[in-house]
Amino acid sequence: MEQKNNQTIDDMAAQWAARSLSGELSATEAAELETWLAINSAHRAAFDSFIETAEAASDAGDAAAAEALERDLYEFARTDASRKRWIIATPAIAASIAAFAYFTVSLFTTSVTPTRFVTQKGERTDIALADGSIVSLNTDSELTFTQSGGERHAVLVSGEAMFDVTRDVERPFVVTTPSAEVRVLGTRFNVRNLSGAAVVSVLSGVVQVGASDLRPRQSDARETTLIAGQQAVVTNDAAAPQVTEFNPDTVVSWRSGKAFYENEMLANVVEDLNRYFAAKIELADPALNDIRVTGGFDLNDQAVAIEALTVALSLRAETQSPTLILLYRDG
Amino acid sequence: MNDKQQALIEAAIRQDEKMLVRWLTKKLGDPDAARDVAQNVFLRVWAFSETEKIDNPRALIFKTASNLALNELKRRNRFERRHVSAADPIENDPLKHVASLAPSPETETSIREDVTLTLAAIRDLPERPRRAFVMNRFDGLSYKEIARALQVSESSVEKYMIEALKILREKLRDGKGATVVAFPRKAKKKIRGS
Repeated sequence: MEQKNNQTIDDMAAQWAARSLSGELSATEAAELETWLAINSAHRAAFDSFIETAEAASDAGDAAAAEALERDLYEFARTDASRKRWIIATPAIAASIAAFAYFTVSLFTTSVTPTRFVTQKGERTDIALADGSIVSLNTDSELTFTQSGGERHAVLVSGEAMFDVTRDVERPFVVTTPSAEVRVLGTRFNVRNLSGAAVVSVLSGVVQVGASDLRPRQSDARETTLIAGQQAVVTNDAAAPQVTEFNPDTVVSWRSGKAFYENEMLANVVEDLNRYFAAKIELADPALNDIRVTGGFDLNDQAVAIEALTVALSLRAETQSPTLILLYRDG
Repeated sequence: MNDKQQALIEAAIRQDEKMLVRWLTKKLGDPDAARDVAQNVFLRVWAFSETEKIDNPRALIFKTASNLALNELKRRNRFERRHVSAADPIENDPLKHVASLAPSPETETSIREDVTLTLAAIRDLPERPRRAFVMNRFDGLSYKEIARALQVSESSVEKYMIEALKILREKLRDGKGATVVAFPRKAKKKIRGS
């Protein structure tokens, strides 16, 4: 840029500022500008003052636009007629935790090696972790837990667990399953392993769900944020987890020894119930698969559960062996 | 963060989530993007609540949503401009949203004064420098695009920018005593919220 005789430093600075605000400064021009700025501190001060003026203008524009949006949002919220009013569900689940497993406490003093917890079919246990978090492990499940300086890490190898995580901003709590990875800030949520998928249900707080490092094949799965009342199914195939709402009463009813189903196919109900009992239930007739089931079942006593099923659906149970029970249509 | 605050924030999120997604869909014209932004809003509010005491979760959610919606709109605007050339920027006077800035009883009074002052100074610029400056600063248009919109040469656009910069710097200096920066850096962070 040429300096004309009558030009002041301010004029030159304004020209340079306008040039650089175009965002199309060539390499030559940029070098020339650097040289000009280096000549004298007054050059830089004048140039900076114009750039700051331009930035202040942009900021003011942003602030005004954000405020206009905010007013629009308040107005929208006021008139949004179809808005649903939510009843705040505060399940008193934490209160129901009575028995802790004491054997865990001593294990976490030098916990670089993962600690392993296993439940047998029909068994449920509440585990108090050294960081104060509580894990309820459902039937036929395996969980490992490691605690290091920067992270608390649980691996749900199989089965299902509900986590009540103590808040620790410094050390995130991470749950990995063969399909999903869940990161939390301190919250309560349930994780269930299915074949090739994981179902994450958030009871309180906010969690981040993404693909697991343990997945057989990596896809470009996106992370999803779940808030209380939301559930995501993370499959090994789909790129993005499907987010839905769920009924907190049915998802974690297993903790009080009950299973609730709502308009569920009998085949799925039987499969779910089979997680809890040594003797496997099978449907003798594929025509039974599609019968819809709604109701609650006792998970502590298979005989009671089968009794409820047979009475409600007009079925007949036949014990074939200690490990197999067949269901027939009655009559 | 205590349990009561946690419960309040959860309640606020639950109460407004669907409405917020509808609003964002209306603003962004894209339900997927709206859901992403809404999730981001809640994550930020939640993370904020880990360290700060929040008196009014709903106000925080709304402010965060407005800021993130603006970011998204700006991001899309830039993105679209790269692919479709600016259709008719002259029809799109950005000062129309600026003009609606009304004072409201908030705590950020001094920032608001700075903003109001700065916007008033821009509004008072001569017609052509004002248009050029606003298109460049608020809409992120290139000088070439501005030249086309105003039907002048690119060097004229640069001259308008110089004129605008000079006038604004003087005005903002007057208004703020010796200070040049009309919008303090620290305060800027605050008003941008999240």
